[in-house]
Amino acid sequence: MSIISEHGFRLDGRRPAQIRNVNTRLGLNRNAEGSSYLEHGNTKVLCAVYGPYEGKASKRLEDRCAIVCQYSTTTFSGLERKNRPRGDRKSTEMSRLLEKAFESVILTESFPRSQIDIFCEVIQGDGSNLAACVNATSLALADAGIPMKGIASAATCGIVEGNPIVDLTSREETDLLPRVTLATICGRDEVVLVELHNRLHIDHLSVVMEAAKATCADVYECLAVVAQQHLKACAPILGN
Amino acid sequence: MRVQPVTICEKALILEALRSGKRFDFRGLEEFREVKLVVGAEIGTAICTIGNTKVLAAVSAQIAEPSSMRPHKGVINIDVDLSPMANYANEHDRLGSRGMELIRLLELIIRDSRCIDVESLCIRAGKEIWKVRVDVRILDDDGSLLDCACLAAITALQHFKRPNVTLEPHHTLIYSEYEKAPVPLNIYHMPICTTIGLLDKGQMVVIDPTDKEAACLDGSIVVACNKRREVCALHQSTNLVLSTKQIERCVKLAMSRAEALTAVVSDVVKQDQRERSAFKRPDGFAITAPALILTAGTVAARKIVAPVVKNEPDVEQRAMYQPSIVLNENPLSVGSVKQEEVDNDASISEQVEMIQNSVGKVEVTETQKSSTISNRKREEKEVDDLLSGLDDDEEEVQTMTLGAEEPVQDVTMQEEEEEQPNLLLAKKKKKK
Repeated sequence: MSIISEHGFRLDGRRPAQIRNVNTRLGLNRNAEGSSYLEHGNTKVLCAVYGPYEGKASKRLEDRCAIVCQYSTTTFSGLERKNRPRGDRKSTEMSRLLEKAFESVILTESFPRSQIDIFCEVIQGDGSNLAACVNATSLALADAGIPMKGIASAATCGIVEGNPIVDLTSREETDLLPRVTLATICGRDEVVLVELHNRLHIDHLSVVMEAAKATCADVYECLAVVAQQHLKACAPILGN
Repeated sequence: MRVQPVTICEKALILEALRSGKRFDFRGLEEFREVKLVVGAEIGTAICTIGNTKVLAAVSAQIAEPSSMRPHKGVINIDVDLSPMANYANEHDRLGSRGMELIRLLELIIRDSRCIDVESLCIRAGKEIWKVRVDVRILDDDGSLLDCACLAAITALQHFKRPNVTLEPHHTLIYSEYEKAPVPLNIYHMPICTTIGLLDKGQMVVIDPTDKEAACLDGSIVVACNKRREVCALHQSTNLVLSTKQIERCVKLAMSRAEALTAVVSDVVKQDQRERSAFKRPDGFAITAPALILTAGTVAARKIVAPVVKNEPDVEQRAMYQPSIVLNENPLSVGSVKQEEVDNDASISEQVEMIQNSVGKVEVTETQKSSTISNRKREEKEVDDLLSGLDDDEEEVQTMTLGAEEPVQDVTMQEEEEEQPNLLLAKKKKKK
């Protein structure tokens, strides 16, 4: 079964450079400083942000704030039931990647000796989980009012026979298809996260990078609208 | 021990040097350190040094049962040990965040890039597979740890040969290397890893940074490539913001490096094979140490004259002698027993005092330690006396029911009866 049909459509009827529908809600969790729920098609992610607060002494940094991220997937998120929702190799790696990405997005120097906790829960995983988590976290951080360099947006992009396809679903995330997850700030050419799965030929690298960058910009448009609408709804004092 | 930060003045000095295109080890900014690659005398071992960084990798294989998910695929396990020997910032038996990153990237490069044919490691589907284990030991840490570890692991895997096996209907025969030639692993490609340090928002590239340089830089990007011009791993190692153009540039740099190092790895392995097939004894890791220091080999053999050995003592004597050894074997436990005894004596004497106080009548003239047993005896005697006296009193009560001085005697009896439970209580305490 080919990933792109002869008429140029993918398995779920999208064009190669088309992203899935993005649905979001902000401010769901009452206890958290900021929270968000985000859907990329069937990929559903819930994210909550706590802090900045005076965190553990062991994690405290003198010049900037520490960011602690926990990525977990529900046991029923994938095709097979998972035994451990968190703590396995893959989840820890995802957590580390998110931490690193947001360490360069958040203005960490503004909160020395403090800590920000980010919790991401993948409720349903249908491809591009890491990208969805980055997007959800950006929105949750915006909801929490934590100063950032900009809203980070991410996208996963693969390449089939020289043609890039964006926003992969789990059926397209096969073992053989090389895919790159890229996260940029405000859709600009400022990469905060890059992760490659499977082998990618060097000639395809620039093609994939360009496609991923364009997709990040598209996703950023969606996220920016959501954040602005939420801000207007929450703070009528600001006018407009 | 915690990671010691680089001092501000040292950092400023290193950065100033880097910005003017100079480095403390006389390299250019885009120049790599010298790579030394040595395969060991043992099959499947390799040491790689990049500058001062030194990593040992050893590969071993054993037969195991496959997981139910992948019944016809072999398993490759990677184990990394970051001992405090390499860098005192490392903790013993604990991989910090650095270690976790290292092991995860090694797994990504060696396992997930599918450079080894795992299907060929299957012996009997669902029953027996080869489990290949790659042990990576960091011996010295001076930056570009991942490059070095990756190179050592790949070389060791190339060098490794698993024992040959044949399948019989009900069992598997494993041959030693003398019976049937061992089989090398099927390796499709060699991913070579390159660390590229970045400075000034990625404007400046510092290749192959040392430990100190890495601490001063903004961050680094790790790229793994192979000879076939494929990117196997791409990892933004520290928090820095880059443009896609810069990433592509780094990948190009890594690619040329990978091509050069792939040739080195295959050369080293091939030369070793040639030497082995010519029955030349492999040098192994001995050549990694400078020849001047190795002086043990030049010492002339001396004739050692052993002293005359006397006859062994009689069996009876030995039998008598042995128990004393056994007793003396555990001086610590003996000491502790003594301590307990002392404690016991102290507590007993304490209790005796208590009893004395409660009784009020007993007089002790001897020292406390020696009087413990006699005290107990005396107590028993006292109790007996009291009880007999009680019996007498009761008899008296019984006989003298209508006596004139009846109330007075009754009072004394009550007094004695009061004393009796006190004494019993004391005895109970003592027993405890």
